[in-house]
Amino acid sequence: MDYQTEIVGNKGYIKIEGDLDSEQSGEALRKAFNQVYDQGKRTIVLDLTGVQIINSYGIGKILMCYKRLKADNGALMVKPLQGFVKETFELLMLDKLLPQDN
Amino acid sequence: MKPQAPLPRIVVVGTNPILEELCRDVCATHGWQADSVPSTGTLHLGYAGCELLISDLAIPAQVEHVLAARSHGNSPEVLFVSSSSPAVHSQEDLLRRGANGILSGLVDSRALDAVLEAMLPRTDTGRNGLFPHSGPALITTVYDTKTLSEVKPTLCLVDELEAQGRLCGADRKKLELAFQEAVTNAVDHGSLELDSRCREQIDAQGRDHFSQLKAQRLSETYYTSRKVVISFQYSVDRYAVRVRDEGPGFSPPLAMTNPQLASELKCSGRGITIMEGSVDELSFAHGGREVCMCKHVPILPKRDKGCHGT
Repeated sequence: MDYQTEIVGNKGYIKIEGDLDSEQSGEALRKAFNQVYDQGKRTIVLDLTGVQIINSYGIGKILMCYKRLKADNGALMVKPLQGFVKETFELLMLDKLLPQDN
Repeated sequence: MKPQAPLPRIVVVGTNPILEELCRDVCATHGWQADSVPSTGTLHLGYAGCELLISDLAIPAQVEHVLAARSHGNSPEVLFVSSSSPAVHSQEDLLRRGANGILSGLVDSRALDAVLEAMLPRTDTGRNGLFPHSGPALITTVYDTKTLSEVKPTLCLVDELEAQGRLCGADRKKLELAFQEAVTNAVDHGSLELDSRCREQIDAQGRDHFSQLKAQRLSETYYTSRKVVISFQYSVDRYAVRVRDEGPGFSPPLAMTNPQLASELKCSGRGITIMEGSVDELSFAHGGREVCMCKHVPILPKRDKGCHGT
């Protein structure tokens, strides 16, 4: 799994490429999140359009990010999802939890 | 008095003392009859009335002998046992040639018991309802936890299903994910006895206690030597994956789908929901140590649905 981070205005963006389905990829997401978080951004947008497979590890890490931001009155958002990741989010009702950044 | 069904009779072919002893042990616990018969190269009378032949996979001549016996007479079912892990496609080849099951990897009495339980019709406890007709093909591999934490054996199964045209592209990822969730659960919560609540304990750097504890336990033989049995079973209209671990077990939730999921912000506990959303039947057995997932497939896959990967 690879990631890129970017700061635009008051938002931090994390773009993930590859699968989010292992302890290793979860750890990579944590690092990416910390990079943006440590720059003071409390609205963070995840771009998961390059993710093919996501499992409960990946979901768990995303929720961890959500909780850290929520504790600081921040917000975790997602770019519009598609395909399998969208289905998984809907199955777990995460689409109701994480607002879309259009 | 009701007439009693005859007890299954099992024959171990050839001279493999370890396999013989293993088989006798397992049969003894069920009161089944176990015999051993040397492989003579000709179809042996000793197989008469036998329900299951068990043979080592290592000796090619014996494999041929047993497959020939399978196609004669009263057609006993055939189980091959191997201490190595043959490639899935070569196992499939044996199944196509008449074998009913293959058990490989770190074979022990528990694994053999799990396989016999799936293969033999049992009137005493009732056979599991997934495969009401006899003779579904069964591939079982026994892994130690260390190996299983590094490989994804279920990927080979999904590849094979796709190659057989029994799996549509759209279903592939879902199934891959469901199978992998089951294996992950067996490793994490079974063998390594990790408690999901550790995921909620996060340090200042955002590291969770679960991952740290997992890395630690993966270096301890006490945990990593535990075995996980993965069985893949299919018949013409369905296939199933069973994953059994040697951990403490758990109490599966009564209602598996949790509608409060979005508001409940636990960082874990979604594996079961994912599995349930990906297969047609999900059940737990042996005190939560075994999960069984079953998927129904149309008997004649429709070509226009893109099931053949064109």
